[in-house]
Amino acid sequence: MIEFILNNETIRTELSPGMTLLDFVRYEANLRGTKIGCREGDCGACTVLLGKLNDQRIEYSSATSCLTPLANVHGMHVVSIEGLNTEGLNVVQQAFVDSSGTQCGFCTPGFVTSLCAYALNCEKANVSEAVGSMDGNICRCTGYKSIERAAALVTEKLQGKDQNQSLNWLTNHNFIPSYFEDIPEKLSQLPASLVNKGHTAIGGGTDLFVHHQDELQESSLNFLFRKKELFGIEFSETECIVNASTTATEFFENSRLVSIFPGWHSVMKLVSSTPIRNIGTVAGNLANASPIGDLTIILLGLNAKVVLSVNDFPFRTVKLSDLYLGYKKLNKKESEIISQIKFDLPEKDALFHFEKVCKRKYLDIASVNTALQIRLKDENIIIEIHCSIGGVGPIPMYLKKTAEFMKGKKLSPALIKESVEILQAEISPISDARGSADYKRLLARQLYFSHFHTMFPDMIKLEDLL
Amino acid sequence: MINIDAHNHVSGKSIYLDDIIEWKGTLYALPFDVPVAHAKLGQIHMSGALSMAGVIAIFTAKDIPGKNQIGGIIADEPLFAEGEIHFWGQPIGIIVATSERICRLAREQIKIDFTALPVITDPREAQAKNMLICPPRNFQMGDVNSAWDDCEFVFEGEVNINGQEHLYIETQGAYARMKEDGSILIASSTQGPTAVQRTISNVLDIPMHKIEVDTVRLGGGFGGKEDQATGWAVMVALAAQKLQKPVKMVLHRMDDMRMTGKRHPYSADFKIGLSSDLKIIAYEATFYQNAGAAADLSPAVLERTLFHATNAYFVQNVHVTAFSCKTNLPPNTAFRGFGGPQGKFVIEAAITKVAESLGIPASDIQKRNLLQDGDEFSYGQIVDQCEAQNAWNSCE
Ligand SMILES: Cc1cc2nc3c(=O)[nH]c(=O)nc-3n(C[C@H](O)[C@H](O)[C@H](O)COP(=O)(O)OP(=O)(O)OC[C@H]3O[C@@H](n4cnc5c(N)ncnc54)[C@H](O)[C@@H]3O)c2cc1C
Ligand code: FES
Ligand code: FES
Repeated sequence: MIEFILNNETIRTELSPGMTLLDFVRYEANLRGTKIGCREGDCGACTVLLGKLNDQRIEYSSATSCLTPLANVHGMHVVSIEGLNTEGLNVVQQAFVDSSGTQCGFCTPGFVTSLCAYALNCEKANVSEAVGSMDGNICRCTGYKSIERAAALVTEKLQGKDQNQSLNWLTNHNFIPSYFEDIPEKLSQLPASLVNKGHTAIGGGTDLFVHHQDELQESSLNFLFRKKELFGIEFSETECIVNASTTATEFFENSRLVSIFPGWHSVMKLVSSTPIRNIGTVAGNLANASPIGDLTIILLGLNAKVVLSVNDFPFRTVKLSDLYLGYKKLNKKESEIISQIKFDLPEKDALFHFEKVCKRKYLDIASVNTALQIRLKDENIIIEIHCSIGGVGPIPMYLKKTAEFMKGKKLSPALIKESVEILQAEISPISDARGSADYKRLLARQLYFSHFHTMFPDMIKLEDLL
Repeated sequence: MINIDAHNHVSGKSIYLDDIIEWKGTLYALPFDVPVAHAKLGQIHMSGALSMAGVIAIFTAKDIPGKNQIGGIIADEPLFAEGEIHFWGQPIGIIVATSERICRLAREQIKIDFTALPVITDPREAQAKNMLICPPRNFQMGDVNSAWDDCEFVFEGEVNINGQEHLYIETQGAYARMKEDGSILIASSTQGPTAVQRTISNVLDIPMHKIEVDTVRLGGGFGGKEDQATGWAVMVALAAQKLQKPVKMVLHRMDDMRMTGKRHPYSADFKIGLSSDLKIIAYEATFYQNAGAAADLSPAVLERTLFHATNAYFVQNVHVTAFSCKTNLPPNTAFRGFGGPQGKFVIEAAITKVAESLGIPASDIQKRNLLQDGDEFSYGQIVDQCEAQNAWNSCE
């Protein structure tokens, strides 16, 4: 049985755990304010809030209900637009009215919900973050400027938000209805874990549910998203351990990782959208084996390993670069799940950089993406280097030969130019909707150059590379 | 100005088509097609789908009581393909079942035989083969042929303009229910309720007064639900009439994008002539409108292209011709601007080419030729209360 709270009501249901939350909210609970625009995670019309209890604190995030299986909200607080209504209008809703941020209105509940998620989450509100919280929502009518003005109004009203008493402050200031304050207590009474013994592993569902909604409803699924033992990121003396159900948001917002990797946050902005990152898991990105998975390319660049478990027991550890055998073919048995991802914490003098080029800058998958980690010692000798690249072969690639060639040599424009020949021999791009083979080879070269130029702007000048 | 619906919109209380709480016993319909753009239609194998639990019926052209015809301006578009398929996504029939999911699973069980025929997607190729939706239109003023000699600069070029998907966030949909005495109540997400009413009347062979069309609001249309909303409404009305049950259809985004027409792609040739002081003396253009497989609103869109062919400029010698070309794309349709943008784009492309060739800013040519009171358009209208100069000046 799946148990969760929907708005102010406790739900206990025996319905198929693989049914989408969207269908449940709209057609079982008959809350029709949550809309359907695509069922693919692209439009945001179906956005809901998911609240999860972390110790005694409740954390809310936006999510696309069209890609969320019912089982994934077990033990959570699900909030649809109806659950955000207060007497009259709440502050976010009023801001949309006042700035004419709604026209046909079909996208509006999604936008309002995303911005409410921001109001619930933000620490020190600012306009650009508030606007960014709606990066997973599409509006075809209003023109986004009026929506941005709504975000600015909301940001203003959020100044002075009390972080210690945030639910209480938000209730008193008419951002959310007062029942929110009772939710943490109610959630703590729900059974913690969902017992399931299904077959196919599923994390956030943001890949699987895009194409297979009908089959998934009846499939035997192994829901990992709400498994406590798979939550969170841990650190040992030398290693970062990312447990399988860590979401992309948790990965990119982890304070330790943010401090280790400069620019970590701006990388995040290049990966899907806020509501997708809030539910898509790191392990799902790796297991999906897409040749252009962003987290995959990042983790390959960090020379990560994955722990494969069977029936909850760690079974073996493989290098991520050895996980991919062919297009969507993994060195992994069906019964094995990825339970952890580990990588060595970089030495103080190591540098890391990620690049991604797509047809449009945001909310798009890469034509080519690449990551590079490097350490130099005296006289600029390369003592460690890892480079990964996606979109240029059937698998996400770890550039073994290129790295081997570079290692032990003195970094210079000439060396980079020489190594690009090896890189070109390692990759095998094909022409497709994301670009021609030639274009991808060009991108591979330019992005590879860009790594060095960005990391060593004084030593590696673009004009010396071209 | 505050949108009077804003309160309901922001609180999720506005009721769009799919938000109408279903009447008990409601059935769901789903269109099916074949992945081919032009073909001779063979047998449709439906027994696999029909034997599935929850599948109630499959309706095709032969089940239509009245005319198998939904063309608005020209009667050239069947509701369900009969004999031939003219575009990829053309509905061949609908599956009716107790849930949308069963419809989709049943659709995978339908097998359709066909013999592929040559496909045309290029409007110029269609025009060369005389495959036109309607006779060509042309507007003329002055005499371009003799004007070229008076021009200091003459440039020619070709322009290709792509289509555009409406992507109304609410996909197409309709929901029909029988009322007493053979009357039908149909909720439709349409920009043209009368077209829905008239077409249902023709296809179902019942008088218009027995058809009540209820359109409260749309989740976006932008022209894409002007003519293109009709077919789906007719399909559910047909199923409701046949089965005497409420029947609803809301398209999945993928079906919607595949099966519906878009903004018309155009190809065009232009010739533009200017005096030494950048006055446009003559302009000639030929437009090849990619209409897709049926007329839809293409003839009206075509006219609007000609109306806007000289944009906000006065040109004394004009000759513009437009062909509405029949291709194997879904019937293209109204879209914000309704053919106007394509007309304007071509003269702007011509001006840009002149500017680039002469190494001057395009704005020098644009400003020099803005309309003024008393100027005449190629279709005879005299310009009155013109704001072009004022608008330009206030932007400067
Ligand atoms: C709108 C949209 C935009 C997107 N943009 C991007 C983008 O910019 N960059 C990008 O990289 N991706 C993008 N994605 C893809 C997707 O969000 C990510 O790949 C995400 O990380 C997948 O994780 P998930 O948990 O949702 O995977 P799921 O859909 O749950 O699973 C994906 C696959 O992995 C398997 N799997 C899941 N967890 C495990 C496990 N622990 N062990 C073994 N197998 C497992 C599943 O069986 C399935 O085959 C986008 C998706 C959408 C819908
Ligand atoms: S319906 Fe479009 S994102 Fe879910
Ligand atoms: S108001 Fe119509 S889609 Fe946003």
